[in-house]
Amino acid sequence: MPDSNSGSASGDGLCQLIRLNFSGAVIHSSNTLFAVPIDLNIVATFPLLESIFQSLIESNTHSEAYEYFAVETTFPGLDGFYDFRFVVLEEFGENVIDWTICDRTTYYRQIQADQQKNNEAKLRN
Amino acid sequence: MLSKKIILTGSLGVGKTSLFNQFLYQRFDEKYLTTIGVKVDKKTVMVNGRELSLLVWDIAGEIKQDKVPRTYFLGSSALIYVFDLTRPTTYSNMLEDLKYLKMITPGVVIRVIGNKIDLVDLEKLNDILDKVPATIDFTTSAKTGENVENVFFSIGEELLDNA
Repeated sequence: MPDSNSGSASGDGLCQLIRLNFSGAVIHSSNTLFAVPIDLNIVATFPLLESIFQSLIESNTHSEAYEYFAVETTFPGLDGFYDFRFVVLEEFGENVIDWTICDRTTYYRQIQADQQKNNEAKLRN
Repeated sequence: MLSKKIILTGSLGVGKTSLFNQFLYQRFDEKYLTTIGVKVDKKTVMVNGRELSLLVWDIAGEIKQDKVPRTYFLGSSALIYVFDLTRPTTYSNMLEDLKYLKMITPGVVIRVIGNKIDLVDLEKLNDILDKVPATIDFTTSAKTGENVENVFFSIGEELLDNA
């Protein structure tokens, strides 16, 4: 598995922060990578988010961050590789989820090319 | 609608992505392309007259399952442990892997799948199955689609029975 501490080799690395309430509606978005309307429920739009959403809202605030590296998506405008980070916290008396999405497409494409060579060699042996 | 998370896991090159593509898109590519992180997509199926949304995770292959980040298993309802019927190294860690997976995901449905049945001579299949150290639930071919839907439907049935 790749890790997120290796640094971007490409200069891409723009990140977007989306804050969701526990109903899945957008409270805030930095819109750095793509525009998300406030109040829109986006849970069903992103299968990764949908599949962990219930677990996130059942987790404690101030628990560990949930991180997923090299998430490959074909969502329109997000065609590439991204690092996802979810943190559950309490803000002004309300439990919220901060979802950070960082574009690492160029970096992970290079990793994938290197890994492809390694894995093909392993499969030949 | 009820939705359930299913993870395809196993060693590298066993055909997890091909099973993912066959189930979700009815597509197969002969060329091997390594998965480095995770892909997730969903498909709605009808199981015994009930709609069920399956959220399927295709993750990078690891020779040993304890290398898979624990966060990947968060909220999972089922695991599909895939090995390659033609490569014994892909099932050499099977008992250890399954023990580990059961420990970190208690109560989760697990299916053990021998993939690439299309590459196996039927006369040799029993010899291979004798060598596999755990009970196999299905043999599949992501290439021809053999048994692929059956794997997911059997999981869907068990999940609905338990719901």
